[in-house]
Amino acid sequence: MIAVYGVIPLIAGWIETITNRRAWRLLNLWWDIGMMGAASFGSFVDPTNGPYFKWAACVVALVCALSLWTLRRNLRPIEVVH
Amino acid sequence: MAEIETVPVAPVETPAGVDRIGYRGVDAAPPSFFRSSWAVARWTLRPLFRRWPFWLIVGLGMIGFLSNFALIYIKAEISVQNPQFAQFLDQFRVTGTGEAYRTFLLFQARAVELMLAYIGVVVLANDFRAGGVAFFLTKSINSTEYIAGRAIAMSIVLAFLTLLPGLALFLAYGIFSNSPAYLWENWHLARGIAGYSLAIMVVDGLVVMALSSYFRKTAPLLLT
Repeated sequence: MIAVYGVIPLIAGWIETITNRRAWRLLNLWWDIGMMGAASFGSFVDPTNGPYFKWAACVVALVCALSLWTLRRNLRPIEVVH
Repeated sequence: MAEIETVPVAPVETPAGVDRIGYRGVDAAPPSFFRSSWAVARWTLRPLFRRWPFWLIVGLGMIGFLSNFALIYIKAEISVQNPQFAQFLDQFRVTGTGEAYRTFLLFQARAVELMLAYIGVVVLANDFRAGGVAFFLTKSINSTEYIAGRAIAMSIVLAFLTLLPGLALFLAYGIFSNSPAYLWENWHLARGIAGYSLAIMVVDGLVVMALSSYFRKTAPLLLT
């Protein structure tokens, strides 16, 4: 009962608090791409998003670099067949 | 001095089947980077365009475009007779502003997700599972050219859902509006549409390709 009425709402509240923080939205790739899109239109839809643009750009660049690294690592010219 | 005897040689008859497939010899010089990448892209797109689920997803993605296009047309027709109703239609984002195009591209993201899942399974994961990658890499195509070719193909496919409809809406708004000056006065909107679409095409294309090469199976790819 303590878990149901005490711990779970506590965890839920904690998750809600951190996900409402704008900085955590950087983990959402669609949001980051949306920031890139808003920047390409020359404006940010929400002015408070402005400071996060460079971080969104960093996340997008990191994702692209990781993707390319994974691709190059998994693409081998020779496949060993057992 | 003995004369060299020349013997007429009968022309070698090639089997009809070989002629039909258009077999060519190996070029002495290796193909350029673009030519190799384009070959991969071409042979990604050609089988894809023959599949009906691909066109079904493109059709689903066109729903947003068609509704926006219809509203732009209706607004252009009505604004002459009833400007107040045209202002009412502006509530549906048919305003021809950057916000409207951004919202449209955001809406298209759902169709892009569907398309990425389909391409990831049909083209990329199957390529790894059925040995298509090994087939490509045994040709004079290296892994960079393979990646570039696949990325070009995915960008072209995603352009069907983002770049082309977005630019078509921009053109439609300019053509149907009272002043054609809209097109060159708001050229930065076309740049914005291209930029946003490019971000979607490059980032999502690379992520799906990386996931496909990592999982190599369809089920985990669909779940991610």
